[in-house]
Amino acid sequence: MSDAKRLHRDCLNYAPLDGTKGICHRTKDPVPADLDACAEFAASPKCRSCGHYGPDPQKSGIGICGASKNRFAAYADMRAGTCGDYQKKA
Amino acid sequence: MGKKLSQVLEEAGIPLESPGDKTGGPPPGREIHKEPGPRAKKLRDMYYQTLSSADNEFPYWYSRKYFELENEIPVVRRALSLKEAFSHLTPVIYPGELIVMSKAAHYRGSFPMPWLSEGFYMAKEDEFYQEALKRGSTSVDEHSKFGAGGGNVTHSFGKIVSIAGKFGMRAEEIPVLLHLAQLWHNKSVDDLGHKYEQMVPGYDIKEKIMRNIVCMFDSGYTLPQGREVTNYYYPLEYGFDGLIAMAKDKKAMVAGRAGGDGMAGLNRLYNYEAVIRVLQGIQAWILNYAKEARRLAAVEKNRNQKKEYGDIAERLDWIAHKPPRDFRDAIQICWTIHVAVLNEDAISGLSPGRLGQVLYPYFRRDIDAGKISAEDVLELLECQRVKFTCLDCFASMGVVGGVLSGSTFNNLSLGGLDKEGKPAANDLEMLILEAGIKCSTPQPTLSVLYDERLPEDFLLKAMECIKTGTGYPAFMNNRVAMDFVSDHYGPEGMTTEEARSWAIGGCLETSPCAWMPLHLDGKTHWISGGAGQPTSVGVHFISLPKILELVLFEGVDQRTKERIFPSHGLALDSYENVFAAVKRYFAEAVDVLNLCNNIQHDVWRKNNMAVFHSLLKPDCLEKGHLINEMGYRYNATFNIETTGTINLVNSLAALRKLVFEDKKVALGELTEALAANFGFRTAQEVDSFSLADQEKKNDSGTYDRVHFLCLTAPKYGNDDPCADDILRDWEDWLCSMGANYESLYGKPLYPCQISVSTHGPMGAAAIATPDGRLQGTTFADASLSAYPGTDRNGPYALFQSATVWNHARSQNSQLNLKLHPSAILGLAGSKKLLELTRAYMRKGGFHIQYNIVDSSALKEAQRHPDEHRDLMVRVAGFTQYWVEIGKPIQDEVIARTEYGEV
Repeated sequence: MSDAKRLHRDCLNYAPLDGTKGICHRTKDPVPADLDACAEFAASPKCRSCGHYGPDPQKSGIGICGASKNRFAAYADMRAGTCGDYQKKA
Repeated sequence: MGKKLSQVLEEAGIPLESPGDKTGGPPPGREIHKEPGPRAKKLRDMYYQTLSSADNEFPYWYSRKYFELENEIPVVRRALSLKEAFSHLTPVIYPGELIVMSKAAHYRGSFPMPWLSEGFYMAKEDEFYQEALKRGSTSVDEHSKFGAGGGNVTHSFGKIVSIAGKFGMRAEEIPVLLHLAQLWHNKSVDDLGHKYEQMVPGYDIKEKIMRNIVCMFDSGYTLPQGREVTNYYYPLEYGFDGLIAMAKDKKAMVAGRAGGDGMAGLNRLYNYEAVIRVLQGIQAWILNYAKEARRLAAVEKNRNQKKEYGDIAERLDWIAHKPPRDFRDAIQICWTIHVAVLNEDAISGLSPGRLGQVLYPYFRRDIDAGKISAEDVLELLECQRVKFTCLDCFASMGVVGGVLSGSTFNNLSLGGLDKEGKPAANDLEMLILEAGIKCSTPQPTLSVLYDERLPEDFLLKAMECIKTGTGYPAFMNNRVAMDFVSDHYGPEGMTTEEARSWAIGGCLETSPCAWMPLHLDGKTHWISGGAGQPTSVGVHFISLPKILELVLFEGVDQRTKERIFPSHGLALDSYENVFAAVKRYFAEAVDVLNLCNNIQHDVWRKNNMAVFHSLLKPDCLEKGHLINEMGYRYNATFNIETTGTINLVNSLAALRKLVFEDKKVALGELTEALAANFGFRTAQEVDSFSLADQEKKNDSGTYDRVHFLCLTAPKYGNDDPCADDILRDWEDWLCSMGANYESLYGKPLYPCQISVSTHGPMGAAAIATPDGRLQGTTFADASLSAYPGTDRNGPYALFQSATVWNHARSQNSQLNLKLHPSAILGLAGSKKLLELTRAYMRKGGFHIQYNIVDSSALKEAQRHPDEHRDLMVRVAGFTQYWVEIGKPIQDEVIARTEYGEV
């Protein structure tokens, strides 16, 4: 689980270049997406860390957004920084 | 292994190499080579290291809102969905950027739009993909190739899944991609259009045409907009708050009123409501970036970078609401508008038009006031080039690879005339050329709207830029274009004065524009901006050599053995009958393709109409009608595109000479030789797509005599009436026949004659042709470039051949020329190049563009692509990184005739 691993790609300091790497705003250097971040890691809001997000028992790799009107699909890895309904899980 | 064609011909005393290909020695370096400033260099280096990437943020939020709004008025439903998507895009700002905002959250980010088409990016075993294959939607994918280098993700690796042969998507996103695709199944433009196009009589022929790659792609669900000039005027003049206020006022004026239009008058209310909603979404998107810039400024330790983030935040906060105050605001808001249009729909060829003239009032004022320096402007222009180059267009492999070679065709026009008819080139355009020299990138490509009155220093600067080898700027003839737009858009009100405002949309689509009054400091500046609908929509692209193949084989495709047309019923006992049969099949193809495309575009306009792009263009805001209700000033933009013109002309010349005049070859003998590929292996077996590299199956000489006769028959490009008269006859007919067909907007069609990259995949799907070209090899590029190695009398003979017809009767024509760098060295060389260009323009040629490159350098780059990441070539209307174009097109560019002297 990324929360536990604290990957670069889940960090607020990470500006993604592509799916494999990004730029770290702190160091201005390229960093690999899937490697552990440094001690300055700051979690970027994602659906997986939102209280409205839950798994969809019917589908693999997809969850449900409890804040959507029609219980629309969501996915754990989606960025949620612009979502007004985002509520960080306790 | 059989002999190569080049060997066979050499033994027969028929040289195949180019007349100028005799320089020998190592490839020369480029005479003009400059480097970008450190900021742009760093941003460009980041681009070089970045893969094309796609994610699902925009389609997720769009779809989520769309399916909440069942029974809402379609245009409002569309607008609210767009607002939701824009409002939720994650803002990403990279260190060092001066101009910010991107399509998506990756540096080269883009995203699918399953509401247009969802089948092509499914797995090949998926039923959606199989359905698309059957109807021809994805047939051309099989014949399209991307370059394996650069940023193309041609294969999946690690946690990255390759989509459509180009885009990398994180594996975590694939389940939701498929989920969204399934939601749009039977609702997308592709699927709905397919449902209704089947009601067109003769639809089965259309399906066969697409499946057999007689025609390349449907525009209605692939790239429904583009090949047009966008318009930045309204936000520059009024700001987004001003536009919302205007729409609110208009809404109150039209609510419940038919205004004399019982069909669509009341729609104006919903349209203005949609405009307001979309503008609110755009504002939220900009403000999200402003918020991110402030966050970054707060945590940034470096003082300069901190200030830059702060400045960006302040600028974005301002332009989200108000008109720009200065050059920096203006260049940012134009970029924001550009990206917003590209996010609203799948678009290639959204051209900024005369951006240097649009921004000039801000530039002049800030320079004169000492508020900005020329060096500052140059740095901004270099950064802007990198931003444009980062744009990717998400569509199927056949479209993005086979047609576009990954290019997005953001063509910036320079020069031309102003509203009063005076030369319009300015100091800012000189800096745009300098930025193009220093920061060489494929986008934006540059075009000079050539007029005899343009100043010499401006034209010589353009020559200097060409000599960098980047392939830009291309030259387009102002007089020819004005004649075309005056004639074609005259019935919609185009005046001579307005004709002067034209610019290039896409690679070289002549596009109607309008003069708009920009007010700044109490002065009125008349700036040009797009005023027409998309072009290169309609019938795209018809393979002319394939049409001839069908004529010679009574309607049966020789690659697949499928019957496409019923027998043409003409006895092929005279050249005239062959020519008549070509015209007959071509017209039949245009007819059914046009009817089906009209339905696709009609489905598009009912549910997927452009709202943001519409409000930018005159006269939508004034009329209260968007693009779908002909709110644009010019609507007669649908056209018929062709590929392989010169192979058709050369083939007809060979048939006339060898079969009907000299009677050296019987028609049956010739068709047998064509079917047998003149005894050669297929291009796919050889894995080369240029003629010279093709290999014989064995040493049997069964077809040698016929093949040699075909190769030595008269060829276009040599000032030889035997071929040129055929070109003239074909063009005279083609330029008239479009008027026989009507677009969904009730307007006549016209020809558009550019190949883009289609001469690669369409050549791959065509058998050998009577001009001696072999199966699978690429056609001649463009519409007036000579077939490689066949123009032997120098460029002026080529110009004479190319101008035997009136180019102003077509939206464009296209001539590409490859020159050895040694031919135009120094200032004297630049002047020679300018004189060469002038000579073609004076003869009435519409377009010319140059590759200044040594063929041996390209061969070296093909062998060692990793060492040539930054090498760019001109293909056909666009510049692209060598490593990002497919091998068929690479082979074709290498094979082009290389002139060593001018």
